[in-house]
Amino acid sequence: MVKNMEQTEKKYWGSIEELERLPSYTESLGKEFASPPEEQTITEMERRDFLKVMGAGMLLATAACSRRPVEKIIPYVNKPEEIVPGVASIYASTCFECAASCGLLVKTREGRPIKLEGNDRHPLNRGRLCARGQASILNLYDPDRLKNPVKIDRRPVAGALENSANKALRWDETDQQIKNAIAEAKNSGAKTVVLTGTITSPSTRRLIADFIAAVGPGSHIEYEAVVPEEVALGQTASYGQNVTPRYRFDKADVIVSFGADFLGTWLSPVEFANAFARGRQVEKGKMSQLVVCESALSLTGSNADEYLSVKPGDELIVALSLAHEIIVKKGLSFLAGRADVAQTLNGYDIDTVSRETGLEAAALRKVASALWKSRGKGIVLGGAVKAANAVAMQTAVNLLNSALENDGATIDYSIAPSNQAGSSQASLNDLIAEMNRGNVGVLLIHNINPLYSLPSSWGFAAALKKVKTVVTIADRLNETSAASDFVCPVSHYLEAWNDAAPQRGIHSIAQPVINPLYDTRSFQDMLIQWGQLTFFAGWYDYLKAYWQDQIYSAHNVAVPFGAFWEETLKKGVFEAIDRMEKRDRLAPPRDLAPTALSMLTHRKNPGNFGLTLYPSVSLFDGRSANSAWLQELPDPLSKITWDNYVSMAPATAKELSLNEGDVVWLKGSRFEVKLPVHIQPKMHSKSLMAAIGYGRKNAGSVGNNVGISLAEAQSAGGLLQWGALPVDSIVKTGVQVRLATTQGHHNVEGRPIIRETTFAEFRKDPHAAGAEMETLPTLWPRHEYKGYRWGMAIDMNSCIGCNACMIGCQSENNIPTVGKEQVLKGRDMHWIRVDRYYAGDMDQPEMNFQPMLCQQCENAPCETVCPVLATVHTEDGLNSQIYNRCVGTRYCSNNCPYKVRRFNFLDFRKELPQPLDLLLNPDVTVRSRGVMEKCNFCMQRIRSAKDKAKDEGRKVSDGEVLTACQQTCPASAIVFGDLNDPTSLVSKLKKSPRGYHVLEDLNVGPQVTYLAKIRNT
Amino acid sequence: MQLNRYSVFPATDQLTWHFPGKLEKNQGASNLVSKKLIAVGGIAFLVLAGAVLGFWRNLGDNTGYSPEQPIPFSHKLHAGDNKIPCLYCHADATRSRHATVPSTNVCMNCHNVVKTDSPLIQELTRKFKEGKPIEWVRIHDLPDHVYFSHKRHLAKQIKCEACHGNVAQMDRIVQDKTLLMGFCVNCHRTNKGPNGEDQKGPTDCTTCHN
Repeated sequence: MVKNMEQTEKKYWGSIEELERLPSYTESLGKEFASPPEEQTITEMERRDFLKVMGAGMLLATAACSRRPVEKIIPYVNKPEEIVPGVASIYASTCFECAASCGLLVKTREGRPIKLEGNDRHPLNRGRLCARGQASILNLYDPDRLKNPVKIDRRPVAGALENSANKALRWDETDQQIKNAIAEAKNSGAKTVVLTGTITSPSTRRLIADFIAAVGPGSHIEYEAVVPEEVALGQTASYGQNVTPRYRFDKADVIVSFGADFLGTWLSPVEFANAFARGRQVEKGKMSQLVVCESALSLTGSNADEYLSVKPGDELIVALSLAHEIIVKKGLSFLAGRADVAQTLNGYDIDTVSRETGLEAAALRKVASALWKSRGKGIVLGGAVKAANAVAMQTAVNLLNSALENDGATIDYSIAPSNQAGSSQASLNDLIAEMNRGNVGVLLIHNINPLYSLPSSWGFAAALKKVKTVVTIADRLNETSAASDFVCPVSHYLEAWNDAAPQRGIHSIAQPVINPLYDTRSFQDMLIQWGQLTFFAGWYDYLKAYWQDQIYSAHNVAVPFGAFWEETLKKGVFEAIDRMEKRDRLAPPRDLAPTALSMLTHRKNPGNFGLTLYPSVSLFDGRSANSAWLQELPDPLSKITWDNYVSMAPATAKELSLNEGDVVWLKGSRFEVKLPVHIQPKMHSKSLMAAIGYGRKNAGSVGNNVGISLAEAQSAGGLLQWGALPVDSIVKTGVQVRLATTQGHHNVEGRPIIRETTFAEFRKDPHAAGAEMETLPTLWPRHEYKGYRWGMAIDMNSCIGCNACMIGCQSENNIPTVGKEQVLKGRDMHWIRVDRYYAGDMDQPEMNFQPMLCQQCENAPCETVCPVLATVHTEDGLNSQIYNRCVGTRYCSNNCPYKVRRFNFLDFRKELPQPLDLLLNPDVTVRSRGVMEKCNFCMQRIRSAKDKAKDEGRKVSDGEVLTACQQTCPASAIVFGDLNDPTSLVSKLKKSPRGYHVLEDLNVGPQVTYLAKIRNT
Repeated sequence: MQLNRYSVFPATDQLTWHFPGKLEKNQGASNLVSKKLIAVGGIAFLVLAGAVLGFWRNLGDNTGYSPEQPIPFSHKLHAGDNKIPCLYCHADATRSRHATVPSTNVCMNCHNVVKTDSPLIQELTRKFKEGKPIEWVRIHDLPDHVYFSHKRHLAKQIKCEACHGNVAQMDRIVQDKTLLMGFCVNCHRTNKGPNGEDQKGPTDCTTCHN
């Protein structure tokens, strides 16, 4: 192993403090805990008082202990046949946390949903789910949900929420008043407008149309901040087709993304991450190349094989230079003969662009030639949502995809295009104008929060005042509902019926898995009531009728509708068409419309710096800002929790003499904002970036005032812009804050824990990564595993660092959140974390992600130091942690080389507000203060699989136990199974030439095998 | 009758501490008083320590617990005299970790026609019709950090009586076994199958704790 350590040329570092050996780093070395334990409640007490209390306490304790509190058993009156208390029921449904609409399986216990998992029969997400999807179950039990309809007196708009005029209503009163308002609007000739977020449900879309038809003049406006609506705008401009294509990443050999974060937040991230990983299975000889050209570092950018860092706004000319190289200079592709194309691309040759952007001409030529070599098997993506030149960017991308014949092959515009980006800020803009003209009588706002997300310069708040009746349909009193007349509480998506068609031919169903916790209704039921569409008994009736008329009848289904409906409910999804997944080409590449070329004008960024706003992987657009799980989920790149910040390159920070956490004042011509600084390697020196979704004022007790809202920053004139916002100056305010990062908590101290090589090297020699496993001698007797021996393999080549595993684990294992203060003290509780390491220089380092969890060591250092035997080796190879034995010495954590043990410094569960307790997994013990905890390979899942196998008199088969992290991993990077079974996948992976153990030379014998990362450079 | 072992201090017959009688010998008159004091103090200390230790031995032992139930259901009548099998009512015991107390509709299977004149059955019927569940007081109650599966134990043909005692003779259910960890582990170490064959249970901590 020492040999390997010397061979490793790359130096890996977790933070700039570590690379530069700053005092904040060196002082933390050797410290196990960032701070000593503290008293839960601090009270001054004298010795005499102490003795008195002790005496009384003894008496009380002995008296109290003689009998446990009386518990009741309350059986059903009429037990539903399908429910067996103690046995989980699983229902298929659909996730509505974002417009991607992945398929779900909802695990319920005794009638309450406790865990979400991807539906493995769903063609979109194939059983996987992202962090936000996993966390959306927490919103169901959010104590801050609105529990009944509310009437708000909005005349004094400021502070309307605290207004005593807020009045709780009954539904019948609400219905009557809203119906009256609608009738009044109709009589006066004013419009009734339904403003919603992206709607992927075809039946809901139809219902809204029916509603508008019933209530008189009106319209339906769809607007969602984060969905990439410019893709369809670009398609319309280039090809005359208003379509958002389906991208087939598994078919792509070369992927070039200009700022589209398709692994993190762009369009359909779970589907894309899964397909991307399928296209990079090195053992099968498949390894796509990912080239990312961007100004603001994204999760996708951090996974790039080739990273082209440019000034904000320069992505476009890089794309044009690639087109110039292929079409004009080399004269390749069917567009080569077109004079107008050559004319437009004139002046964008690689040498000129290279001079302008500072990128190496050779690197650009390499990308161009790789693209041409893989024509028909490449994807060029244009990205960052709402850049100033977004449509131009899309046109350039379309030009490339057409020239490279990717269009119609990896880019499916005809068979199953996407419905996940329905949004139009132009029509929202028109709506605001119409509201100002007083033409809107009733405005229904659902699933969108414009008073939070829109800049005040758009005048939405002022326009709202001109609307007679504003109804917000929301799950809480949010920023927008504060300025409306009625707030109608909407059921969580797990409490209501719904459906979704995220792509043509995929019909996904959502069924209620719990009765509404409060007096809430589905959005659709409200429309049926208010539109008096009473020929339907309710939304369920409408939905079923829609399915019968529109879906069942349109396709040749062999069974009667009743059976079809039952079967679809069971499966969760109906695939109406053959998506031709196996086929390489679906349609011919389209020719670019001549008019499109006029779009391709490059505007230079006028500002000194360019600020990019981005939806973060955890908070997205801020809709679930009240979710403590998401707030405490570290950002994949910065590893910062509970805050947003402005990221800048180390060179920029040095030049402006800024340190991590310095609050700066960003001044542009149209906005000013104060944000703390985060120094982010890999950023361009003229680029700044900051996450939206923070700074909510009315999100709830968790999410209020966390971070700073950047809504005002997007108002760079005209349409909303998120990319390349000009910033003239960065002023240091002198204030410094501590950003709660989790990466600095544990230090590698230069040990080689990452193994990697290039694809070319790997093909020559599979052992090129220097990964090697040997059995070292040990003084300890080896354990004997007679039955199972559980082990895990983690493929670092697949892992994209998206953090879905962390929330999957948190949800499964009742892991508490601790809050910013405690994270600052290093007391985050995640059992699995994803470590991010840089390698190389500070400005353009390579990035690596490494999921780290308990390694279930053979010679476990934790086991030998526990004075009370609370952590012992089990007969199937796990380091068990027995909570009821643990006395909290923390010796085990001190001795753990992987730093994966988590200590309950405080009783994080004591004040769990109702109904959050309903979310707890009854198969996992809830830990209290003073107890150590850690990953146990989802012991409860192993036990339940064993239980089933024993019933059937067999052994647990391979793949039967899925740990929560493995189950949800979009990239299928985690494999779990029996190492005693030589045919199991995990046994085979353990023998892989890429396999290695982290810190193997310590001879602790980890049961987790990591597979070396391969870069396709 | 309810066993009276819930007093704050446990019965002293469980104590194994003996006072050494050496103090009686070689005692001088001058230090008799102080020695007496020491003796009294010592005795007091040892009695107290013994009480505490004895108490700890029984910490969490609920043997004999037999609270009054909302309806005085008699297992003796149902399971004993009328020989209704345990699994008729506790049907989930073979399917789930919980044996489960039957839902009211199971009671009504028979009591639709049986003993409808009894005021207690009328009370039961009324609750059933109103849709109100019966709130039974839980007796056999393992701590929250213990995993126990009825299903697995029944699959190994462990008799219900092994943990619940002779329920068929109980008018009011009383906890018969300690159900402490020692009780579980002893059985896991020594259990024999129905034909006397070796049928031990696993004794890994994680069998019951996670």
